[in-house]
Amino acid sequence: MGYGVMKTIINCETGEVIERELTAAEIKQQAADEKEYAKAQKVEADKLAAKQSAEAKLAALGLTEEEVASILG
Amino acid sequence: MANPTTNFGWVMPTSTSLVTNLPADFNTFGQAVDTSMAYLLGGTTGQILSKTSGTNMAFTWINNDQGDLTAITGGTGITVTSGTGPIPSVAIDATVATLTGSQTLTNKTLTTPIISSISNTGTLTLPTSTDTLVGRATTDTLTNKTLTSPALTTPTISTLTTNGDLIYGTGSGALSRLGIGSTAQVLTVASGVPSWATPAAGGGLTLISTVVPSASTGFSFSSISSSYKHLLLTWDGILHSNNSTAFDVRLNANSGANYNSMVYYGSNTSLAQANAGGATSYNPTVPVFGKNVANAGFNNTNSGYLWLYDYANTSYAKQCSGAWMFYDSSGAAHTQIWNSQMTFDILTAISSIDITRLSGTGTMTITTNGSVKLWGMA
Repeated sequence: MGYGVMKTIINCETGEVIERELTAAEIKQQAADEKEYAKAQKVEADKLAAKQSAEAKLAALGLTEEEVASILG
Repeated sequence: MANPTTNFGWVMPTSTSLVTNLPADFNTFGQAVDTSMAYLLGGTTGQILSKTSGTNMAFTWINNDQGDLTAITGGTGITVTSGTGPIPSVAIDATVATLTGSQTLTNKTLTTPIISSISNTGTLTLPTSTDTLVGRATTDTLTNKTLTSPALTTPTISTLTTNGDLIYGTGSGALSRLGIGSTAQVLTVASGVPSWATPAAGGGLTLISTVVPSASTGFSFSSISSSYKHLLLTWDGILHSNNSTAFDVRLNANSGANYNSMVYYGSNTSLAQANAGGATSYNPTVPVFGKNVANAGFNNTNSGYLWLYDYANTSYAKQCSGAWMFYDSSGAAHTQIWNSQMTFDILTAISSIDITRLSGTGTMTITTNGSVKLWGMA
């Protein structure tokens, strides 16, 4: 049971195209992928937030945008 | 002389007859002669004697008209020049064919004629099929014929037996058959004759497959041949149905922690780096087929390329590199361009490439004129 989510398989040897529902294992993998993706996004968001925080603090010290950019890139 | 005579039996006087008996004897003799000759009496001028029976001296006089031709009538082609005797004459006219004359024969049937030569200016009708005559519309087998400048219309040659066969000359005027080669083989020359051969690796790209996904939740290139040196995946115009969906790349449907990438990316005006060691897909931080790509237009949709080097080897990890860009319609860092290097730490040859949905419920559609293509590099 693929829960209505379809996957297209293109056989590069024969050119045959098959469309089928996701297998149970693939549905399970999707759930795991959601977690992995959310985790990666959080890491990236945290990095971005830290950078923005640093930029704000540097600006509070009187640095110009160009001076902040020269430090943080 | 015999007495009586041998033929007519006339009785004549004998040598011992008395003189006194002679008159009577001559009377007897004379009467006998007269009686015998009586048949010759009568008749008229021109008549001839005719036997009336087999009896001796059975004659009668008849007209001399036995076997006479009294008149001659001509038939078709015969002209009577003198129809009565004594010597009638006839002649043939111009409608009668003669042995040496020049005539035109019409509707004649000749049975097994022997013709030494033919001089023909009209239509000559020949038998429909014999061993020695060839008809214009019949099916015949010609042996040892030399044709000079023949014009052949859709000929068939028995040398060619299989679809795709080619023929080539052997140098003696004979033809030889070259059967069709295998897919992707090219025509070459070996030992002085043409042959099919697999082309040497020349570095060219071969388009393996093209996909135009529509409302897709994921697709996969499967059964990828190991005959190439490298694989190249290119795409453009990828558009997500909402701004909370992400699609990434997996190899061989492998979801283990085998993807180790380092990416440098430009996000709006800043440059950053992301390290994704031991990931379960190519790069879950910024998935290869984009995240939140919901703004239409080629300047906003996801496009890029990936090289998969030496993908068929079974002794070493696989190296991949590529770049992709898109417009993230959900966050502050909208415009993103990524340049990556990734090591897929698996020894198995890559035989499938999966574009899989990592997150969200949106689908992937190609912008008009966009496509996803898989290439093989020889």
